[in-house]
Amino acid sequence: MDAQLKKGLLDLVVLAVLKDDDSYGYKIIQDVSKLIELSESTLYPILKRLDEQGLVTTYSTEYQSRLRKYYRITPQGHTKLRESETDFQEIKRIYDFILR
Amino acid sequence: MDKYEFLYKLGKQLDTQPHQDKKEVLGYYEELIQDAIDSGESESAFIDRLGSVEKIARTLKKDQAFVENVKTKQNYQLQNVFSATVKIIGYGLFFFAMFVLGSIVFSLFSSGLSLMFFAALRLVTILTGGFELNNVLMFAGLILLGLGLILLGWWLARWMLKEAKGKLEKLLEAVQSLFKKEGN
Repeated sequence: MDAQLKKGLLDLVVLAVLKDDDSYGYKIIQDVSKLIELSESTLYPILKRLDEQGLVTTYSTEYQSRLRKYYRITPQGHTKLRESETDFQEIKRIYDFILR
Repeated sequence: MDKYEFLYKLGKQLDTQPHQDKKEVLGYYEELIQDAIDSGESESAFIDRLGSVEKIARTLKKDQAFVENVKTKQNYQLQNVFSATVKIIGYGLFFFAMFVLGSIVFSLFSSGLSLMFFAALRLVTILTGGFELNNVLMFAGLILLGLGLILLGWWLARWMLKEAKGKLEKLLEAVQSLFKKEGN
């Protein structure tokens, strides 16, 4: 997929992965990878950005006597996902035009 | 490469980063590797897949620079235009000072020359007329004084040319950067 297009989508895909359940780095990559290619080094800046924008929060929980960092979607994150639907409708119209 | 070697090398690459950022990144990768091992992946194969530590650090720094840029873009551009303007005003003053110095150099040359010419003329009339040591010494001294003035002017002019050349190049750069920034 075109790199620019992908960059814009990845943030949303990561948010969508967190929609139903909190998750952690390794699992997020596995879930996203089923849909779209995502490397470990790409995920880190995405999570950081989502955190800074207040779309996710983080907390650490003990797992097998070590700490694991979990990411949870915030209400703003949910709003962002809903808003993306409007964007998507628009993109769809544009693509209908491109591919007509 | 095992986990510890990888984290050590990555840490080295991130030494220039703020401590908190470095800790976070290392924590992220340590957790990833541990989770991969726990789900039955091969440690070395997973680490190979992560790519070189140099590349990871590069990607990270690029992304950070990007975030910083977006945050401070407005200020950044203003600052640039401002500093370029100050530079140009500074160079304006510099060239004005050069102009003043240039006039001084010119007057040094011309007064030196006329002094020499005048003294030489007088010297000739004295030497052809009655020989008077006092006068000869005085006018010979005046010739030397004129020569000194010319040399001083010459030295100043050379220094000015050298300075002005360097400054002129920098001025052109400043003007160019000003227009580039405004063009953006």
